Amino acid sequence: MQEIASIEQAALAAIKNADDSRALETLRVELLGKKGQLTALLKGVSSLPVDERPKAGQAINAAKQVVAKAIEARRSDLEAEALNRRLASETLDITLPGRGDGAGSLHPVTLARRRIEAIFKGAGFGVRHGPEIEDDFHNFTALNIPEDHPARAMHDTFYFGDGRLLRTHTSPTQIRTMQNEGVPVKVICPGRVYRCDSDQTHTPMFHQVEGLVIDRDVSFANLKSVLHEFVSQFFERDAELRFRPSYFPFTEPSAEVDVLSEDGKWLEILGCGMVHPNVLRNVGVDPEEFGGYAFGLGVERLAMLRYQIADLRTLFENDLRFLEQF
Amino acid sequence: MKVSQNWLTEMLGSALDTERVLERLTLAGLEVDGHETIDAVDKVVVAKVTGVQQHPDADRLRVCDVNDGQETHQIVCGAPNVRPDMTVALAQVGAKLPGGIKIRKSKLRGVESAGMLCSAAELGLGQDHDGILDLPSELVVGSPLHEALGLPDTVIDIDLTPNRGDCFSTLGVAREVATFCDIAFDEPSAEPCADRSGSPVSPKIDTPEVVPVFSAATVTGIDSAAKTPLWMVERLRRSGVRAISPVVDITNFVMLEFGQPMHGYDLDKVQGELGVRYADGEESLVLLDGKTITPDKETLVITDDSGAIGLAGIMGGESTMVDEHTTNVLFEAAHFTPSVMAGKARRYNMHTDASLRFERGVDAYGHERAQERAAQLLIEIAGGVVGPLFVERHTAHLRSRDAVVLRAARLAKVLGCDVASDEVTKIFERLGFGVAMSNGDWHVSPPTWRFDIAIEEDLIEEVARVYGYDRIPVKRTYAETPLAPASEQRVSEELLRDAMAARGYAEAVTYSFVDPRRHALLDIAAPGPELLNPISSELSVMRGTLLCGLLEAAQYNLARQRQHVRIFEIGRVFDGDRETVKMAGLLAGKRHHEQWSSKDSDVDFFDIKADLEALLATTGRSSAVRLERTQIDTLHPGQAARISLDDEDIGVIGALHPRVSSAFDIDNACIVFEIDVDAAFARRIPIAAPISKFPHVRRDIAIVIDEKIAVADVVDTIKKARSALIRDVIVFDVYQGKGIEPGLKSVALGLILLDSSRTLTDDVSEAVVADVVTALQDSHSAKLRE
Repeated sequence: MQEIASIEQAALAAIKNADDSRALETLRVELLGKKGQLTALLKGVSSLPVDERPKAGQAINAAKQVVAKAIEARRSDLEAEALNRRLASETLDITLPGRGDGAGSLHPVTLARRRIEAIFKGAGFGVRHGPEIEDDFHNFTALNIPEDHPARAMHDTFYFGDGRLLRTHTSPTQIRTMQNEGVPVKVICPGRVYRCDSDQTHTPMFHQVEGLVIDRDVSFANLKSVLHEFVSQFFERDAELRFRPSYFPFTEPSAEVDVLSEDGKWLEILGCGMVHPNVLRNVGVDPEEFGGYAFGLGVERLAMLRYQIADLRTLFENDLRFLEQF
Repeated sequence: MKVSQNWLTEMLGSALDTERVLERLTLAGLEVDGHETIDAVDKVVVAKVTGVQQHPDADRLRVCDVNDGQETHQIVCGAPNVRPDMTVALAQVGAKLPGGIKIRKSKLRGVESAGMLCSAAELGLGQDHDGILDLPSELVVGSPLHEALGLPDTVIDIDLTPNRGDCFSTLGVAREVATFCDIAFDEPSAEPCADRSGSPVSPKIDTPEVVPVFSAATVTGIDSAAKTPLWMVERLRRSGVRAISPVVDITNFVMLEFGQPMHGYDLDKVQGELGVRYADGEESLVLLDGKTITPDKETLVITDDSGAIGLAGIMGGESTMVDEHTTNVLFEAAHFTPSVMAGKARRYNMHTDASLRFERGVDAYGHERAQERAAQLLIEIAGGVVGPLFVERHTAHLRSRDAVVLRAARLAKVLGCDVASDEVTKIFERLGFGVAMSNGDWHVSPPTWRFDIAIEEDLIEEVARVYGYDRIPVKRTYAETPLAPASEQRVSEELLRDAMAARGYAEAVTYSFVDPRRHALLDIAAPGPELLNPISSELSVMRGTLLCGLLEAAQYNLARQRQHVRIFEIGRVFDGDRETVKMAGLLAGKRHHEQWSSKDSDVDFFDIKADLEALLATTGRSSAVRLERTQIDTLHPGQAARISLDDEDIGVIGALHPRVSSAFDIDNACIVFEIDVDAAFARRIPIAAPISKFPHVRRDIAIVIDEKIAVADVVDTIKKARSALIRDVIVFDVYQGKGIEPGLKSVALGLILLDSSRTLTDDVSEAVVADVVTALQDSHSAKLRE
């Protein structure tokens, strides 16, 4: 019995000292293998007197279990240590930049236009596109701007040799929409427009989104509502608007709309008004039965306010240092 | 249009608060572009020069004795026009002039000087540096100069809309201020001249239908040396008009005051009587600005016995112009209808103060007032005798002044609110409109100066404007709204933009018009139509390809130390009558941003091809896309392809031709594509196929073929050989070099075999490979590489 205890003790000490899995396996064979020390002891039990055999057997088996358990425990420790060592050796500088080139960017005019479209689409406005090279009828005459009307001077128009022109606003698309689809109508018309003007605050090409709502009972009060909600949604704050009387040949009454900036200044952001009866007549709509409102937003203007872009011209320089900010 | 607040105050007879005027004008729809306050300058007084001596040590300097009412100062002055007994503006010691000059006692070439005699420019009154101000002698010596000049004053700059021609005068703006600030205001009138014993005139108007009013009067025997008084010079200056001579200044002054354009002729140069008629289309005429023109037959001219002497309503002629010897004057004031004036200024490119007003409408009943005013002013300044006033007015040819009806129900419907009936009536009265009620509707007669009131909406606008847009309520519309269509049959432009941005491209927006010389380098597409009136020759032709703008953008960035450019644009291109939406992408420079884990290498064809493939995959139709080698001057002959989808051309892809690169100043590798968005992005709605329960089998082969054979053709051959079982072909290596004969290439292919009804046996797989090898030998003379 004493022998069992001393073997067990020596074994446990050896297991504790085994510092790799191979040494541990050697120990296991020496102790528990077919020719192992404890196995040999067990074999010796048969030579003991019959009455001592059960006790000796039990003691040996108990020792075997203790040793086996110790070996398992040690093995698991060693494996964990080995894994930890490997993982430690695989440590990266996780602050190094990721591989690849990152995302590109969308133009701020696209971002602003998308916001505008999303907000109006949510209110049931359709989106219509039309040609950028227009004829005089759709760009001017149909919009109550006849030949020689002084308002034509407000539009510095680019012309082609055949009398066609680059549209000066997206209103011709509204005319086309009413011609094609009739009324009632509730649409916005986004797109590029052109005016023969180039300085610090004008580029010869820019973007507009014009809106048109024609129905049986539409009022200036409705126009104020839709624009107030739009501007508030666009800037994500309750916007204060100021409607100022103005003049556009295609609307009457007409208004310029200013928004109160966060630093307390009125900033002009759009023009609007009730659609002029001549415009309706020009597309075969009876102005006594139908009426409505129209508005025109400058996309660059809204993008500049939203993203605090100081200089309009940077929008078309396509400098990546600018574009990548969006 | 610039208007002086002091002038408004004088006309309205009521003090005005500048801030309030600015605010009310804005809410009246007269947009205030800006305003400038001209301050009074302290310690600048009216003074008298009592003596002038030559400076002992300087030829150009004079030593003057100047009396400021209190004492006489010795002042050294360099102005050539200083003379004894001159009334001058004296900046006393201690004065601070607008230019920042501080006046101190000083010595000029050894002579003491205690102050400065000022020019107009030195006092901030315009540009005139030619000598010191020669003030009228009647000014009180010692009085502050700002009293004589009417300072301080605020000049308000109003951006008038084309419908409000009536506001092109101090009177017009005063009417609006009166209405919007609730000031009682009577229309100004001019007392008739008591003595009209001068020379009579009787002009002959051939075209009363377009010249319904014509007036004329002479003033004879004026002092040709008379000078325009300071107060008038100042008023003109604050209105942005330069003083020239009393007669011209008076016509400008009356126009600015009442809005009636006038013209002054030298009566002695007018041969016979004035007349008005259409030009004959052949006669030519030298105008005041020295230009010679031949007006067409639709243009009115002022005539005398010699022929055309002025372009009616636009500019007078040189032959009858007033000059420094003029002693007899003829003032003309007419009414040319807006319809006859429309477009004329533009036709001759002569936008004058007169043409601007006539185009938009001038009060047809203001001529007597203007003529009286002009005559009286001229007599005041230069003496003379006024002749009888000639006025011919054909009311039949004047614009109808029939009442316009405003229905109460219509007003409420358009505005979306009720405005109290008596408030509406009061609004019209405040505007000077005649108003009568009938059955609850208003019958409104606009005043003679308003040319923008013809239909019911014009009245609704007037009511809204005066009532206040801010008082109109905010009301939501509740309307049935059909659900919006949501097509899945196209890949939207927005999705393409997002896809490109996700692949690292920055979206560019370039001008739709480009430089035709640069466009000509890009035979990828012909340019669109040419503009008649471009901003510049570099922006004069509509683009037929987006690449022109993208290449310029790439060059712009490469020239600014960018090593790595990835940009795209979606926009329209133009071809005659057609507009097509295209998308173009451009890669230039290095493949990646400089990075610790990847080596620098230049972009190549397959970088952009991968992006294009990813985009086209969004349609679910990748298998129908083919690239065919193409030869166009824009692109590298060995690295360019036309892209087709179901045999329809949808675009091009390739490396930029070195000649094009250098023309665009691009030194770096540059790869581009451009595709037709409508043609390329119709989407196939996916139809789900069952997933096979059986595993696929892969068999790899390597073949050697002629290097000119396209791998895509090889893949096609393989697929056709056993289309039922070959599900995919992977090209996993292409090799040329050691072990392969020159002119040949080795291609390694992985065949993915699958039978969805049973597990493929080795025998079947081997048979498929054998068929493939045979087909490759037959079609491409391919040799199996062992």
